[in-house]
Amino acid sequence: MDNLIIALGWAGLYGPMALGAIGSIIGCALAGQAACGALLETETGHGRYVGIAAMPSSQTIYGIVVMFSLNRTVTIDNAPGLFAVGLLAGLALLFSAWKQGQCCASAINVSKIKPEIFGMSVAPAAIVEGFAVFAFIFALVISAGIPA
Amino acid sequence: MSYYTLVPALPALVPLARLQELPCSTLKLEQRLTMLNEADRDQLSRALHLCQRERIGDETLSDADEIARWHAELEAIEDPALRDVIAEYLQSRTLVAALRYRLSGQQEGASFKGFGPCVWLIRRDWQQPLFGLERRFPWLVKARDALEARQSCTLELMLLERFWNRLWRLEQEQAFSFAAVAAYRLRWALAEYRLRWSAEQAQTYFDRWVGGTLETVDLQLAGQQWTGSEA
Repeated sequence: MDNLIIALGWAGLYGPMALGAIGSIIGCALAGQAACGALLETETGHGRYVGIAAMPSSQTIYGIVVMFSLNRTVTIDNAPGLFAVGLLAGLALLFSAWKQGQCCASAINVSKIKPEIFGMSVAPAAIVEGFAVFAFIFALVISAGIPA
Repeated sequence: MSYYTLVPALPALVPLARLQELPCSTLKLEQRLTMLNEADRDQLSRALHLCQRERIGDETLSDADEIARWHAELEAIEDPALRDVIAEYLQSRTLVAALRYRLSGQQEGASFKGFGPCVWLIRRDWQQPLFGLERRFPWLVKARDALEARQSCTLELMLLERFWNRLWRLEQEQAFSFAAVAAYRLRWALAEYRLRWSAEQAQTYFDRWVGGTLETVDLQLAGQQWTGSEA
């Protein structure tokens, strides 16, 4: 049983990084596919399509920072806390990156039709990013309470 | 299946009312649609066949045969959202056909063949002005007025715009899905159809088409068995 708890502690430690990366993979792939499609249909503005497709990569960076903030010797005492914080922060990062990718794809699709709304069309993706930042910041704050 | 690359690669279509020309050739569009997988291409082809405004190669089918074909083709479309929109469209064609038959003098609706859950109501309430369906389908009032005023072009445009708007909504609701691609391709087909005819040519074509249908019904009412070709 102790081994299982320790394993869960390690999973919590690596979880934010791994789940954030999975989310970024999905999000960047979705937005990247949309950017590729838009390249076919537009003559200019290709750089911004590819740029916006990279937006969901930030969740991986947040995951790395949370992982380092949780990094400590895993013991029976701190493993449950590491697991809970790591898993939940990771899931928040995963879903935010995924959904942000969909927002970016939509932004690319509409700004291809009407380039002047590009700035506004990115706003939903930025709002989703805001929630990822909340999850990231409060994971840092709460990780301070987990026994070293 | 999602089509995140294909949807942004489809050129934008302006609203039907402002449509002057297609943004690119249909050949170029078809090249892009090769990104669809085989099963979806098959579904799209069925959807296009069901929604084509002109009858090509099936002019001699009776109403019953045509309706049976609609049912068979519709069942083969797996996407529920697309199937619903097409079913709604076929139902609207049925309602307009019922109005036309009645306007041509058909006295009873028992032999009427149509598509959708309202057919039995149409048969039952044949004598009512709009088959008692005006609350459910408010556009029927305008359709009847246009038919009575022999404004076939107005009616055709109204039906096109209704279907166009419904397809556009489907595209927005099901973004990046097969349904969105299919809705776009169906809008393209409507745009092609609309552009193929000038207003004057469309009026002539439609009047001739309606006239032919009404003549058929007149003959049938004169004692022959009813085998109209328009549902």
